[in-house]
Amino acid sequence: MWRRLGSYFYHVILLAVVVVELAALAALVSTFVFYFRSGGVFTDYTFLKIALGTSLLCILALIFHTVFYPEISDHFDFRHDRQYQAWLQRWTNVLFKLEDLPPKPLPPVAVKALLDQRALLIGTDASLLDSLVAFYQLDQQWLKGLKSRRLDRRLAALAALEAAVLPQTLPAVLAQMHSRNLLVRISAARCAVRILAAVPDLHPRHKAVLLFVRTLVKARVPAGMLESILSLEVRASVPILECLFQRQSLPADLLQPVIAAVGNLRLVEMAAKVATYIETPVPAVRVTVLQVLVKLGYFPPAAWPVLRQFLYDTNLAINLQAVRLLMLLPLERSKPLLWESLGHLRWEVRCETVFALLQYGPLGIQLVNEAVQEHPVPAAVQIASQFQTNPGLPINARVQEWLGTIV
Amino acid sequence: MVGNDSLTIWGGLYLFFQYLILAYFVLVSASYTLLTYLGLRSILRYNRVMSSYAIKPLLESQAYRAISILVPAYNEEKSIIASVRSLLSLHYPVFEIIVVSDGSRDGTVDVLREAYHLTEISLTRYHMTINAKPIKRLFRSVNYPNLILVEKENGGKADALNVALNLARYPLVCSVDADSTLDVQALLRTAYLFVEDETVVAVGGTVRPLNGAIIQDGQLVEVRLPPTWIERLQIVEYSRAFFAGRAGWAEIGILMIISGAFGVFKRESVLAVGGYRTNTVGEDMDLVMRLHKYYLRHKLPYQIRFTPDPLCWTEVPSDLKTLRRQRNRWHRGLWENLWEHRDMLFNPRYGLVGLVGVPYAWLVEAASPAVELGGYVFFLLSILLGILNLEFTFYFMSLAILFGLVLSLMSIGIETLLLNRYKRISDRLIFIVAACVEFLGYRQILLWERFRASFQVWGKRGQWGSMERKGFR
Repeated sequence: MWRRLGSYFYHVILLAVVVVELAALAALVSTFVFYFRSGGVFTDYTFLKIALGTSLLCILALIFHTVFYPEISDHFDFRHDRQYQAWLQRWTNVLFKLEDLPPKPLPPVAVKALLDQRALLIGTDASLLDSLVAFYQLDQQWLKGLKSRRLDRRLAALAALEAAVLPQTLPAVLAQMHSRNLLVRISAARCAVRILAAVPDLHPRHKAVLLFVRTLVKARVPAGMLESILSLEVRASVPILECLFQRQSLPADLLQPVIAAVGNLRLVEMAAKVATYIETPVPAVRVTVLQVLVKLGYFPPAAWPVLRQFLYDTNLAINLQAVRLLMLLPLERSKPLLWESLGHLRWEVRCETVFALLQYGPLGIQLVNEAVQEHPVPAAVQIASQFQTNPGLPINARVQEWLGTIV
Repeated sequence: MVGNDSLTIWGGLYLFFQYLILAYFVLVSASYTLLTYLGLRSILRYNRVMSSYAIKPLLESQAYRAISILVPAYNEEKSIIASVRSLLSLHYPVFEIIVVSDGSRDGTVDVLREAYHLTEISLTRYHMTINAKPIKRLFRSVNYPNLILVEKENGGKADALNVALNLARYPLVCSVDADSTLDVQALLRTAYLFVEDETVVAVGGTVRPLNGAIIQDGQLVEVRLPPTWIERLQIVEYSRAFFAGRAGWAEIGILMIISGAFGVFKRESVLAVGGYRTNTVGEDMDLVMRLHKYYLRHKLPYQIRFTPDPLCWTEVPSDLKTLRRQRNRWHRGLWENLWEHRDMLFNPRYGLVGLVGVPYAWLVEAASPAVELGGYVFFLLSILLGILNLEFTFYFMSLAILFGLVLSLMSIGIETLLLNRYKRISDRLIFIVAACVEFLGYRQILLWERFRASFQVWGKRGQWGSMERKGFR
């Protein structure tokens, strides 16, 4: 709170300084021009004197801020922390020692302490705190904050609602997802997911889920943030993602984060749904689909006919993901394609193929060794010879290290 | 400064020069003032974003993008261990560190091998996507699987970065100087911008002087003022350059430099423009310029952002000789880049970058030493010829000095508001004093060095020179 006020205050100081300095420049130019136009007669330097005086005042204001702001700020922080601790203790006493409730209205620090304690407690104690939230009508206060024209108030209200997770506030929160401000849209989406996670008996046809999905499709939330938001709460995300998959069509900018979220949450049961998008025309989405299928360890039957096409796609990422997907098959099935991709035009794909073969263990190592002797493509012989090793031994530890994380 | 002979040719020239200096002064002062204000706005917004979003959800949700940290090193045995330790302790879910010893002649490789138990591995995974000098040896740490050391032939910083780029496995790459240390949350806060907006291709962070600070287990434990005034004055300069200049430029979308000490890029974007250019000492600026060019030419959406908080602490020169050499190199780098990208000047094809950013860099950044020194010479000549209007000169000079002071104090104020790193009042007072005395000799010495550098661009093309390291405390 204090920091926010401090920021506003400095903003005002700086705005004043900018105006003063620009005016000082105007004074300088006008004095200079007047002097020459008058043939050296004009010698009134009043403007310049004022400019100098006001610049000095600006300097003093800035010095004052630099020297004292941290001191004042530290003082307020210290006071705030002390009050916060006192309020935590007070809420504990209310809950466990049945002390009297503090009178209305609660100061912001008391609300923060209450919400923090609510996040820590579970079961009966948490529901007692819920009743306190209702008693003090905090939701009404936050809902009022959502209607404020000031961005900070709306963001603060969303943050509080996110911490409070009150299902009855969902419609008001969802309305904020259509805000013109990106920050508000993202905060509202995150808040909504947290609230949904607290809704009992959530399923894909639940009214709250349908409402959220309908809003999400229309709201413009950046793909990366959407992925982040959809991967936050498994409890809420599963019905949301299922509901999204049930829709007739999803735009590419929504489809990609949705699929990525399935991968992040390792939702194996949705692998088949993800696989239906394997032939999507957008390369970035196709890469994500393949990546997620690899993550989930699911080789869809529909992938087999198009795998060769993916191996020779112009997009390198698709080639690499195709090799990684091949790794999910037994060696006897993937062998012809892997053998072929050992001689791929792209070095990265050849390298990835060797890694794939090595992951099969002794049989794969044997195939790498065979490639050194028999592969018709010189590039394949070269890459295989770099990895040639004794098939009787476990995979070279260094090579194992290199396998690393699939990105 | 105002003369009285307006009839002769000399008088006309004299008058023209006065107008020129005045116009230049007004342009520079007004633009700096506005940039500082824009910088503050972006910083306030950044504060709001960070307090609203927090970065926890990013970690919770796994939506982060993995990062390869590229560390070019040349004769860095004194600071490399602390530097790598600081990088290893970064708070980030998935990252790898690729240290490239660019033909170091000191014990850089040996100290690293010993400290982090590095073992030699084969070069199998190496593929030259971008041409670079050959690799001699490749090492990997037994204790830290995400630490790789490359020993290669000397080819310069840009060449070392290209080698690291070839080895990098992750979608984001972060270039960090070997004499620098990063704030633990620097990557999280920077990578967040790539998650928020898919069109972001590069993000620059704030770089602060490390001198005087204390590092423990790779982490900055206490920021103290450096002992010498040269170092203190540089702190004021860095504050002005980052919080006023770069934050302001980024706000209007024409940030033209991301410091080589700390910048995060999309790997595919860097590869698309051919990596780092090796025949320049300003490879950091060149990369950003080429990114602008590439995306504007292909009419692709992109953003190059600046984030005020992710801190990189770097060792700055502690003696005048090294400082002059560094500034000479920076100014040559600027000229090299402006000349290389001269086709962007006033070219509407490159949007605001071509119409505002590049002309500004020519006029205000590159030409400033000549104009400012010209002003000093003009002032002395006017005194000698006895044609100086003392009263006007007094007001003009006072205003110019106060203006410089206001700009420095605004930046220091922003830093105080944002970071609050220097806890003691005495430290902050020393800062203010440093801002006040900056124009008493220090500025002029560096001005002269930059002026000299303007004439050494072709003769010293691509030459770095050396910097004496003290190492971290």
